[in-house]
Amino acid sequence: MTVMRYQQALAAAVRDEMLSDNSVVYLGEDVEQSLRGVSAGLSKELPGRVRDTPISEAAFTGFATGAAMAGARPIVEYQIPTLLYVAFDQIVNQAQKIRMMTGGQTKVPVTYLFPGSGARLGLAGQHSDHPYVLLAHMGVKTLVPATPEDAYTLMRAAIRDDDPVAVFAPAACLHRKGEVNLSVGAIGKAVIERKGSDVTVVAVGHLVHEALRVAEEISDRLDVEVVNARSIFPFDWQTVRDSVKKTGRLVVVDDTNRMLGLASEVVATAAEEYSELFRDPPIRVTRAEGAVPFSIELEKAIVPSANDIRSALERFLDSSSDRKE
Amino acid sequence: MVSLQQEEVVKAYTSMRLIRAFEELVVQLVNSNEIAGVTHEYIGEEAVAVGVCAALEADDVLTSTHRGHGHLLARGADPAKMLAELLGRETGLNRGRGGSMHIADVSLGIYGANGIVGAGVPFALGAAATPTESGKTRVAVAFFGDGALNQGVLLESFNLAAAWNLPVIFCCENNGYAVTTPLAKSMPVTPVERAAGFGIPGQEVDGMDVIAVAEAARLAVDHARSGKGPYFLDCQTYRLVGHHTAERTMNLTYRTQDEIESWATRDPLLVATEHARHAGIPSARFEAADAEVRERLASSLDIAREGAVPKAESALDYSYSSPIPMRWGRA
Amino acid sequence: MAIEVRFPKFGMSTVEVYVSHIFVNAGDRVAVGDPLVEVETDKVTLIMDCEVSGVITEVKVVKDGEYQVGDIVCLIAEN
Repeated sequence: MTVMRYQQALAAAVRDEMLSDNSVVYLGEDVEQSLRGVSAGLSKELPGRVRDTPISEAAFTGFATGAAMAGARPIVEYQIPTLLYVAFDQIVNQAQKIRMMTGGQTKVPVTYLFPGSGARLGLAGQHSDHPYVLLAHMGVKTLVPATPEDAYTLMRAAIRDDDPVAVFAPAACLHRKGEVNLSVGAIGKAVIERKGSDVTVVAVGHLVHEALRVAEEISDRLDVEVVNARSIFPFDWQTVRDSVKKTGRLVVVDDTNRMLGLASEVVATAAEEYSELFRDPPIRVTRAEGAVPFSIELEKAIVPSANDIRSALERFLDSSSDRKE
Repeated sequence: MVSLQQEEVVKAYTSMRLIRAFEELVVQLVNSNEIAGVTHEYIGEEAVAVGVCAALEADDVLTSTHRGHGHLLARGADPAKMLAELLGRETGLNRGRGGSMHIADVSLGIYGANGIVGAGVPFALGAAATPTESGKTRVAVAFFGDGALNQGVLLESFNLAAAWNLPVIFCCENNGYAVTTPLAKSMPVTPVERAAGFGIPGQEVDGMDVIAVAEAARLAVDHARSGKGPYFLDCQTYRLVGHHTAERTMNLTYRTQDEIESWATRDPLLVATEHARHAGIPSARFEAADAEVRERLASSLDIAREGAVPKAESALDYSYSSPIPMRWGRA
Repeated sequence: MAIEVRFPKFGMSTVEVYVSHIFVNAGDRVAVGDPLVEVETDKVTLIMDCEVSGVITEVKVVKDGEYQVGDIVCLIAEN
């Protein structure tokens, strides 16, 4: 067990995989100097395996696909998470589909890393999105580690996975300190961060920490179970279902826009598959439907906050529903 | 002028004849609806694929376009498995999952046809930059049409290949039209000028002459493999049929019958036999090649038609190398 | 005239900073370039140096404390 910051855990995972597997290479903009900190020191320690790319997201994403098909195991870093949009065809229409379209002739073991994703006090419209659902919708394995342990274990799992895997490292999680078990994690498994019996809160990324804080504050009135989703796709449906079976109530806290976000999918599935378990209707806490404006007060109004989580939970205190036996 | 050995000429002719016959068969199968959708025939462009592939070695890689059957056949893919793929059978190269637009044979270094113009080009760069098991330098050929010369990802790839000095051959199959749009309408410079602007040396090639293509390709491959970086080939060719199989019903007027007939006098099969005649190769060799191709194609079609149709339950198969649970759309 | 020394912006999205070591006390005389505090951010650990010469009148941070970019580190009475 080691105590690390999330950012360091991410970097350590990359380093450990690069040291243990010569086929792992790291590319992106300014990665040799490591503007984003994940590849710090690696270009010196492993010469030739960390490369600065020109500002050509589509080309270097496609480069990674061809390299992967030829036997490499590339990690592609996008300096700003919304640069995903510039590379979108190359990820969802090319890399992700190649295995199926070729009938399994090849594999594309690329990891796409988006460090510092989400809004972060003044990054404004084009730099504040948290677009993990766009990839999940297209079937790309997509992870949003919330804790330093998630960051280390899931990043290693992502690199070892033989398919394209996207890892979004939320900006608001990067500084967090935590104990890290230096092992390889499992994609597709959620973690119950806090056990409870009154309500299930499924949260993503930094919102897991907000949910935990609110759960503590409200613990005299509600016993909240907090589920750290971690894996957007594949999603751990069983853990959520088992939790709702216990609590009968569901809140999904998601850092994406209200329309067609993760929260929508979780609630729709729950309603379709186990509505009989609910003693109260489910609640989604999401971003508003709009881009993030610059002024801090406006940004805060758009993104989900601890207050929003608390308000959602307090709605259950007002209702007087009985658990269906 | 013939610098290829006799056997190489016959081999090149046979390969081109196979492509021509294959594509003519495909046209029939599409029109009779035995092949679903439309395909993009390589008729008239055979010399480019055959000439370029003649210069490649075992570890080398190529990326293809929506007009990809010629690249596969030239590189040695099995026509029976190709036809099975076009017929959507489990026995096809892609197990019926790709069809014409995504047909591939990765075991031969063919990274696949691609339905998005220019999108496969950067794959060639990644492959070229990745070491082979043998340690030999891998050369990658990116095929694309003249229309792709204006696609962003291709231009980024020109730059990246030059900046990183990668052993990539950028092979433009310049048939003068991006579907119905003539090249000059979309591009104010010549293809070679464009490549030069990115720091990539190159040349124009008579794309109807397989020997000229083979010579230029050899030069390009040597250049790349010896560490001098990327090379550009503007292979000037012509498709003797429409952009895709359905074009004949569309009454388009972007080119004249005269133009088509003029190019047809330079049909690559005719050009090759002319060369061969001058080199003293008896025409019987070519008649034999034609017969061999006819037979091979007929038996390929029989084999392809015997292939099983994939079962509906397998529609989600092969999506992931490390499989995960996937949901259907139904309850 | 006391000058407020504040945590500057470290990178695009850094908000939280942690003080891992304090090199000065109130009353210390400092010169340009002398170390003030060691700071840990999400990305790096680095040392903030003095940009003026003078006397530390007040140290506003504690070791292992969590602060935000823009918070005051200390006050310096300039020479």
